[in-house]
Amino acid sequence: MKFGRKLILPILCTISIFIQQSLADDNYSKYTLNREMLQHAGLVRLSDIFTLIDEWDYYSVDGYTWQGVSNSFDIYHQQNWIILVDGHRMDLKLFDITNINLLPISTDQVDSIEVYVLPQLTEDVFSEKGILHIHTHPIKEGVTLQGQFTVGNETGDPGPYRYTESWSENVDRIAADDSYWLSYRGNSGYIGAGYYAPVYYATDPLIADRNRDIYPYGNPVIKTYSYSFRAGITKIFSRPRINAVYTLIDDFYFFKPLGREIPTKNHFLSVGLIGEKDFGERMNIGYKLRYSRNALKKRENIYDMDFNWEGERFYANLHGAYNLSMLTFKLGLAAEQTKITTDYALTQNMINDGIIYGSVRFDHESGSHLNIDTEFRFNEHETGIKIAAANLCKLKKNQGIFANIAYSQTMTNIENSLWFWSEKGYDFVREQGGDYTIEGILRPAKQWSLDLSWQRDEDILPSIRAGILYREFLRKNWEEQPFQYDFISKTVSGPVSIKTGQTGKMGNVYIKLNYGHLSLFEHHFYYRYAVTFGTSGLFDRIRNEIPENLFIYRIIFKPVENFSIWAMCKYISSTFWHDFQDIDHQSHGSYSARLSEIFLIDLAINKWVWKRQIKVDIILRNLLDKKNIYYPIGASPDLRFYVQAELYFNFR
Amino acid sequence: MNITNKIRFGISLILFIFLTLLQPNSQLYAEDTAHAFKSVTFRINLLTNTNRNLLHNYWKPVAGGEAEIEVPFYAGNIRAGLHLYQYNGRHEEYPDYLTSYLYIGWGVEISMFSQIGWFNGIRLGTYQMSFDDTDINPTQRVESELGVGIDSGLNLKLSSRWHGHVGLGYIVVFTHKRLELINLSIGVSYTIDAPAWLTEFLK
Repeated sequence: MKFGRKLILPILCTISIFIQQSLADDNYSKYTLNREMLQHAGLVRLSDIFTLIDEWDYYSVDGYTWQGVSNSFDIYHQQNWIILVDGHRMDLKLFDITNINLLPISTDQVDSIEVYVLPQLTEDVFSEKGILHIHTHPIKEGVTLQGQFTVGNETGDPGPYRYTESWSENVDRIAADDSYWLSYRGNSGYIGAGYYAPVYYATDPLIADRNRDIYPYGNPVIKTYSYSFRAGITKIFSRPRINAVYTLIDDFYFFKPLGREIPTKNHFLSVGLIGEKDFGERMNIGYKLRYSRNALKKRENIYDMDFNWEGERFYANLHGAYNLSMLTFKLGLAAEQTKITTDYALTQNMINDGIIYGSVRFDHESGSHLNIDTEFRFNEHETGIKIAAANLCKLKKNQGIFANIAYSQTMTNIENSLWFWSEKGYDFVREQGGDYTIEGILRPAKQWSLDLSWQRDEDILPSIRAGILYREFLRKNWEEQPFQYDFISKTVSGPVSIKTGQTGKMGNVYIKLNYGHLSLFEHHFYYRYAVTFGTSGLFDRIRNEIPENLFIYRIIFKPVENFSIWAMCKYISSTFWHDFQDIDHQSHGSYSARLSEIFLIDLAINKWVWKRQIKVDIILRNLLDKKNIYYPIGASPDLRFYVQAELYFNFR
Repeated sequence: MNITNKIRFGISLILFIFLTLLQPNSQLYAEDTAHAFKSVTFRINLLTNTNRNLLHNYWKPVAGGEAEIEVPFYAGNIRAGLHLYQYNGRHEEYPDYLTSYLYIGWGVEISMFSQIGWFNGIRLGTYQMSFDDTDINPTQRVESELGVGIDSGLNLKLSSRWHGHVGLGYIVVFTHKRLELINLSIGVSYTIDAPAWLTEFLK
């Protein structure tokens, strides 16, 4: 009997004690990680927020770039969730990987994160895969100076024993990171600029040999240089605000079709303009303009691999909202152009989409509401439609039942997968010795989802939320790639078979509790059990990459305002990665397709000093120093120790 | 983790949670924190390494010392310190190295008699080893690793501000093959009233 099932009885007993208690900050289709929560957890990098989001499954190959799926809306093969920053969409996705560390935002600059766990329209974006909306600190009046400095260490270095027969690899540092932010706000507007430079050493023994095979020029370092700019004018028509970010990562980009990391220079640029104007109390009209560029350029490597890829996006929309006491209408029109620049001869390198979207919301005086969101998208080849209906029925003042049903048909250019462009002539995989076959035709994928939940939410006492969800995937394009291990180069390879028209069904049951928001100890529990109803053999195999049982417990100890201790226990049940089923005996046990259950304890101690202008964190990740592997040929982040200081000075 | 340990852990976790639910709210604790950061103690200790394990087959501990600053915390005391210790190789192939352990710690002192207090605490920090090895790249001569320790000692009141100290400290350094060190410490400390600006800064 697995560990998760053994815990069910004690958990249910524990739950029965807390049945009267509330989730003060929760909503039904989204919730917010506020500044206090983020500070307690001692986040080092943006990707650490995945550890705070209960509904997300995630993995990492190198311990630096983390990939996730939200609320069972997909499996790991595609990363189609969306990131917004202050209302601006960030087009981070590149070849099925969405790297949140491309954002030039250090964790001290984050004010809150809205986590959208259900299909819906928000900030003119409809996502059926989940949205993370990062809100940075509002720029305060006067001059503000912020900084964050982090040093860290991953345990396991050889120490003096490197001179003896007990020699081992040097694991090295995992920071130092530094970030700076300077801003000014006056009567008419604000302006701010920042710089962020994290560094990570990809020297874990499980990936170091692969990296050194292609990059024998010294320690494989992932170095990031990020710049950000924000400005807004508050006294003119539409109160325009601009957001610009640029990041260059000297990366070791894990490219699954070739089964290895490839040194790259990943350039990301995004410039966005948002404005809106109220016309009376009922009507609002706004606009958004955005340009983004996401490019993979060559970084020195002995195999001379160069992705030679640059993708640009141009986006413009006009939207309006009208409120009629209990009814709110929203309508928007948008256009988006995707343009690819590469030396490979593409049959099509530009796609123009038109988008019509809108929502209707009915609010009843009892607190119940009904919301319908929709998006219709089209280009010369395909159409896509997304619709979501959400209904909250208030049973009592602080108790309700919530239902969300959604359908989506996602155009192939929106999925923006590697294989979409390979079909059009992007021949990088074959040119580098890889092989792939697309079985069938890439067509727009479809998805149905149903979420039902009950929540009791009170101000003083903790709250409870329990729910079930159902997902059905249709016409999906999933990959199968039986990897073979090469003992000399320590790499894996195998032909990729893209199987089109696949189907799959899965469901979850979950329960979530929060208790003690105003007391000395604050507790948070989450348990999820996932099950598949596979109708496709391939889905049954790849679904096992997502863990069946997930248990999370977090506690915060706050004896005084300026000091806290935060801890998290997390249990992730065992997973099996079908593509790697031959790797155990081929690598003589160095790697395995079956990943053991993961049990994590993280600890963070925070202390504010000097009237809350300086914060010092001591952070320990994987306190038990257990070998936790998230990907069959990935790194195992050992016990890590960080010391982090944040400075915040405001002069008026 | 085997099945028995999992059950033990699960039961322990549930008991811990249940006990914390019985705790009062934070307002009660705020009244007891007025003493925090009101004094500063400076301490100097001489160290001698007393245990013997695999490390000592290759290196001989020579001498060490540490300097600490301690202030009262909301509960107990917190300390920050620097500990230095020299190890010499027993053969040419084992280079001498100097360890510098920069740490922060927390502990509680229990008054046993009017002149004697018993201190127990934990410490956590970065344990750096600088190897006297000219055959390798200078950047590779220094390694740093997480070091965690516990210590226990007696403080003897010599005057209103001076104290003598004797104690034992156990440090685990999280190298691939763990370093485990037990040090005997003997020293003195001097306590002053913290200046108002310092108390205000730390609170």
